[in-house]
Amino acid sequence: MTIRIHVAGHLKDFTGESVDLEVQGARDILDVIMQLDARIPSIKDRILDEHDRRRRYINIYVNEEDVRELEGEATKTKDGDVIYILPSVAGGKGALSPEEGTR
Amino acid sequence: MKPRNLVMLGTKKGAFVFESLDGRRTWKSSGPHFKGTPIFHVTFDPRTKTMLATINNDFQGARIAKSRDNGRSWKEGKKPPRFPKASDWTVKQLWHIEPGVEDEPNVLYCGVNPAALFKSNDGGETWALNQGLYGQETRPKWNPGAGGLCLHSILVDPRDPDTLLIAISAVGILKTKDGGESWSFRNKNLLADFMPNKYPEYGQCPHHIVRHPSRPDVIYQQNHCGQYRSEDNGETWKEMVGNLPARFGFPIAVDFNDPKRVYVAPEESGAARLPPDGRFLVWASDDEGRKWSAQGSGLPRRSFYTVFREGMDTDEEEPSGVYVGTGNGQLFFSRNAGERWSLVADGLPPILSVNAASA
Repeated sequence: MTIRIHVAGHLKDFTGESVDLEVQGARDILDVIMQLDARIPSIKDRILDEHDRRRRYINIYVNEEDVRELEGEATKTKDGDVIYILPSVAGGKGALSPEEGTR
Repeated sequence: MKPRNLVMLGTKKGAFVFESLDGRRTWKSSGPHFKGTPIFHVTFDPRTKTMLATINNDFQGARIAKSRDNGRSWKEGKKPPRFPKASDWTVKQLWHIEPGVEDEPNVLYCGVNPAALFKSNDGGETWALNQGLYGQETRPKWNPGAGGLCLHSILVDPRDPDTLLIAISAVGILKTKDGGESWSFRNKNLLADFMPNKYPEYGQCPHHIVRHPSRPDVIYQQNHCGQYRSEDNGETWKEMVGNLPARFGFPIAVDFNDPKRVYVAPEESGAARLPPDGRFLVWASDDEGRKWSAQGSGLPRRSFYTVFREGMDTDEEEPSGVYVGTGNGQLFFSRNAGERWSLVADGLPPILSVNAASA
């Protein structure tokens, strides 16, 4: 089962642009983050607080759906899911990409 | 050879380090370190020659970082202060970090919001919650002040590692004599004029406390309701408002060489929070707060600068230098105990803490 994780903002300092994570039987978002933490120590603490609740300003999307509209950290995951972990102040830095610069 | 003088600033948008190698005549600065992040406190641990910073990043949780090269590079500890899962509390901010006694070089303390004390026995790599304070019997009745329920001051007794004093906003002063197993209040004679009972057991609002390094029983306090001193290691307090223009204020500093010389920066009231008469002044006393004099030479004639609770410190030189950082981003320095001030830096982000050290 493969889940691809995209991150942005300060989290990229720890993960790179995206992480292809092979998870073993991950049931939900929390499980995925726990497995991510095993690969990148301390990343979980930057996404979730000590009670495994999303930190303020951290947004998590599963296949572009906000987990707030689903079941939060308990949102179920499946093979092929793409998870976005995006701090809400992630944007605004650097030059625009060609796509971003065209409207 | 002249010492290396360091002045460390925590600001709303990062940490700055000022360094002088020529007897504090010129300063080189670096920063902002942790760009864009509120740094509530930066201090220097003389035991290990290490700078310590509390990084209050809203986006990825509060953390502690250390620098062994005077701020040129920083490294985070392995596990920042966090409440155990059973507590259901979340660390919001790290307010103050304090080195332990001299012969325990790996011991550090950290005060946080919501009010709790953490201890590290490995130089800040990992932290454990002080259960004695967490379980203090009156805790369910504690209420936050305007800055939150923050534990912002920690005084270690250099003669006894088991004795600590702490200050919590809108709660008061607490002391332990058994290494943190138990804590009891030391608020005797401290006014709380915003309470029905003006002298309660707890509920006072200390803003900052400082201990004199060579006379550790001498402690000064800037409180919401006045300025106080203790001559018995915080057991009792004597009011020392005297001829000051206001009781309210946040910072307080004691001269490194003279335990009777103390500095404050009063503000008009808890409601206004502005310097009296539209002029920012530092006030100094040479006699433990009995008589105060305004120290304004070199400060702007009309200004509404204010100073946060950690925003003033003195250095170890003779005479002791005084540093004050404002909420408007100015760093002022006096090499002659406040007689004359000079502007070291302007245009900084709001300064949250100022700490001076000789390395």
